[in-house]
Amino acid sequence: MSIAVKILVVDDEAQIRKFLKSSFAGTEYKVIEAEDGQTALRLAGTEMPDVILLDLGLPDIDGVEVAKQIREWSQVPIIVLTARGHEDDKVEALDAGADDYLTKPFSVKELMARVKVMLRRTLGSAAAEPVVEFGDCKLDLAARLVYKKDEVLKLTPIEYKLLAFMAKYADKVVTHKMLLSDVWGPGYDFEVQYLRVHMKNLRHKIEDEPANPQFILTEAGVGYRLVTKG
Amino acid sequence: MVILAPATLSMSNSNQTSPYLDRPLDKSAAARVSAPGIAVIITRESNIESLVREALNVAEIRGRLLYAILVEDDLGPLVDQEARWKNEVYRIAHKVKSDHIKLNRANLVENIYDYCVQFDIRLLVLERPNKRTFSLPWETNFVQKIINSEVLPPSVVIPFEERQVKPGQKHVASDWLLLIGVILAISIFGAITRDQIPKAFHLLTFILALTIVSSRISLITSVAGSFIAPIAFKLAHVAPYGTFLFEDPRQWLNLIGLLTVSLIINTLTWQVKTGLKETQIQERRKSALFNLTRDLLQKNSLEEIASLAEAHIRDVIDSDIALFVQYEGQEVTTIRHGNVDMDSSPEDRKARDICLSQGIEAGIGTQVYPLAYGLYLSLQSKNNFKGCLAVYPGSHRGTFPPDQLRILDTFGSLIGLAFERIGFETAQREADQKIRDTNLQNTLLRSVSHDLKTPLTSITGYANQLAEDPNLPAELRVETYTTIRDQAWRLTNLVNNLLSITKLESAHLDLDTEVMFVEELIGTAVSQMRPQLEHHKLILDIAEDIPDVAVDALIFNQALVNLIGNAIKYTPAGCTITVKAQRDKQWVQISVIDDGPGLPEEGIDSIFEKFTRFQQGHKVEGTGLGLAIVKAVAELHGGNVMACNRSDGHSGAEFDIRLPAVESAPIDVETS
Repeated sequence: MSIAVKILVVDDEAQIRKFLKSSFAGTEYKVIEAEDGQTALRLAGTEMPDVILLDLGLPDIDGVEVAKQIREWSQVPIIVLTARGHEDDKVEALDAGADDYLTKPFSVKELMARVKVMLRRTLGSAAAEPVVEFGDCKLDLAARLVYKKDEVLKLTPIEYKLLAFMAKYADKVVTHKMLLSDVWGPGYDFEVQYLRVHMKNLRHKIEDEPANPQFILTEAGVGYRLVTKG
Repeated sequence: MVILAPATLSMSNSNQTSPYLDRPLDKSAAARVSAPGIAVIITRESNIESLVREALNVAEIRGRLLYAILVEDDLGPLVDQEARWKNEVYRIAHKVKSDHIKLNRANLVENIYDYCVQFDIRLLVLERPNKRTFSLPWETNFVQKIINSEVLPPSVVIPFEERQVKPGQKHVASDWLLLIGVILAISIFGAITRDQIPKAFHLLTFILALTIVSSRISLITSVAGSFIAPIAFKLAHVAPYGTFLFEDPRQWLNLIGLLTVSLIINTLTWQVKTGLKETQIQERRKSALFNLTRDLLQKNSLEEIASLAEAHIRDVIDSDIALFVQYEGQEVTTIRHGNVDMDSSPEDRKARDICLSQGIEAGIGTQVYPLAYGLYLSLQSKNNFKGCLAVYPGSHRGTFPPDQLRILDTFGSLIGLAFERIGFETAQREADQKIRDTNLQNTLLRSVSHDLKTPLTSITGYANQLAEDPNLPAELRVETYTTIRDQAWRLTNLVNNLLSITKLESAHLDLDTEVMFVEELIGTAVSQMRPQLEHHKLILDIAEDIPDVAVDALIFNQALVNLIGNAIKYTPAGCTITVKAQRDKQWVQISVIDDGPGLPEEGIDSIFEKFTRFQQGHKVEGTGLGLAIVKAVAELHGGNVMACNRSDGHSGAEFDIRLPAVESAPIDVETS
């Protein structure tokens, strides 16, 4: 990549910012720092970062609010950083438009993996890929067909929609709410139990061992993640 | 309408302005009477005895004059009725002067209003029409009209059910029949056998018969019997028979004796009967109070007590209630909403507040904020809170008669006591929790200070070495980095586990339970542990018909992760870990089984206690909290956890979490 990837790090802890900055050492990344929500909003506008790492516990504005405001005018990928035990904030931030989350403490490996997934979507082929492959499965979005071991899987319309939606956000977390309002419509936001039943059925068709899923992972209390890379 | 006025009963020369009227009184009219009064409204259907007595009680308690208003109806001329009514009223409340005012019923409310203004009537006492027997529709309407009227003074409505049936009015005809029949039978028997049997025997027969009969009939009938009996005796037994003449004047003595004995027996019987009745009423009240007391003792929340109190009060008095509690330095908490909105009735709010702050009764029927819809009774409590029981007299405006007030007062005391008990219990629980928290904190502190110090010491040491010694050989450098990283992870785990156990053991944890598939729960934990499972074999064995479980997915996930993590940690690489889920009656059992060295038998009992750790040859660094978390999680979900060594001949440990199975109907979805 010729142009350096700009990463906006928003965290009030100088140590964390320093750690994140050092994680992105090298010429392909350029890290910009913000220590509060106001600065973050300003820098998000002026610097046009490619990825934002956003801590939810900010001194001035609530991190969820920051994500919401940025989403009003920008599709820049946002990864929220949360402390353990604040799952509600996490889900709220994801529903407000954040793209993924990392629970502190996390390893550099995890961080880089998440950022790469974000960049693949924005910097890589901007158009949605017509075919998504994971393991021995293949989802052909143009033909609306799903193959497993080269055989066409019989999915119900809802199962197909669920899978297609997760494929659109491949390797990113999708919340219950996102899935419900996309597949069933806005009125069904709270019917998580229906979602679970369909997910179970879908998993039984896709996975070799549904109790040890390789592709459709449950993120407890948050939603699901379709893993396409091993 | 006939008005009897004023009955001078009990005087109170209070000069306060009329509490229900915003407009000034007609001074000249008001000047005619000396004190504010209470009017009892009587109709053809009224039970005058109980109604007037009740009104009299109300008037006496409040120190007011009593006026009687008789309402005319369409069923015929009043002339004959009027005399009866007046007599009845006079009999109960003496010295009632009467007025007679003819009323057009269309203007009934207005007429009563004029009368109330004229005599400064502050309260009306009336009787709820009897719905169970025939009652004139206009009468129901008329009572409703008075009750609902905005201009009239508040009303005390005496429920018809409370009415005591006047003894002697019931079965009057049958009483007389029995009496006459018995006397007639004995007289005829006496007339036939008077030559064979001595007179004394006949006399005794009469006395015996009257004694038996008087216990079964009303007082008036039996007194009448006492007089009839000597006459019958004279006619049947004293010569010359069938006349009132006496051959022997001494025979008079027999007759007088018979009369006296019979009257004494009547009086005694009457006393016994009255006493019995009184005892029965007392007994009923006592048992009602006993039941309430007993029930209250079994309730452990303010809400439950409120429901119970509501039910019992409804049983006795058909009224809506509200309950308020105010803890020291806090806002008023509403435990039960009444049908009166505090925000829209400032009078009620003021009455409630003064009842809470001063511990006095307020509201309708009292001197304090009598315009309020409800009556506010203080709950007598010496604890650190104040309580208030509000009673709203049904859908109408009205106050409560004294016997109901007494019951309400007693109920109030009982509820207050129950609240007080709950207050103490809560305080006790909080104190216990505090002690547990303190104990936990102490244990934590001891352990944490050790567990934190160890990794911190090595991290600091190695970090210093790296910073100060630039010539450290490369392989040593790598080893140092690795140690620092491992120790830092250990610290992280410790802190996370500490946070978890603190959260799980705090009394205020709210579980976000959902019905979950066991397969998905296991899948989530397993996929999360996949990196650590690299060197172990994993077998999943989930029964086909496994029921669902209701869990907080996030919290439960931690328990499973800890169990799998434990199995990884305490078994050498290459071992097999089996996660098994099966049904055991009403339980779902999830087991994590390994084929490692197993658990040391002597430690199994204490394995779920905090800071228990086993050292088994190889170096294991844990926080000693992992299994304590598992136990706390299982118990929070109404389940339990067990540890044992495998009993199937293989070596290895087995941990079983049992959760209540959820028998949910499967959600119907298309599955093609």
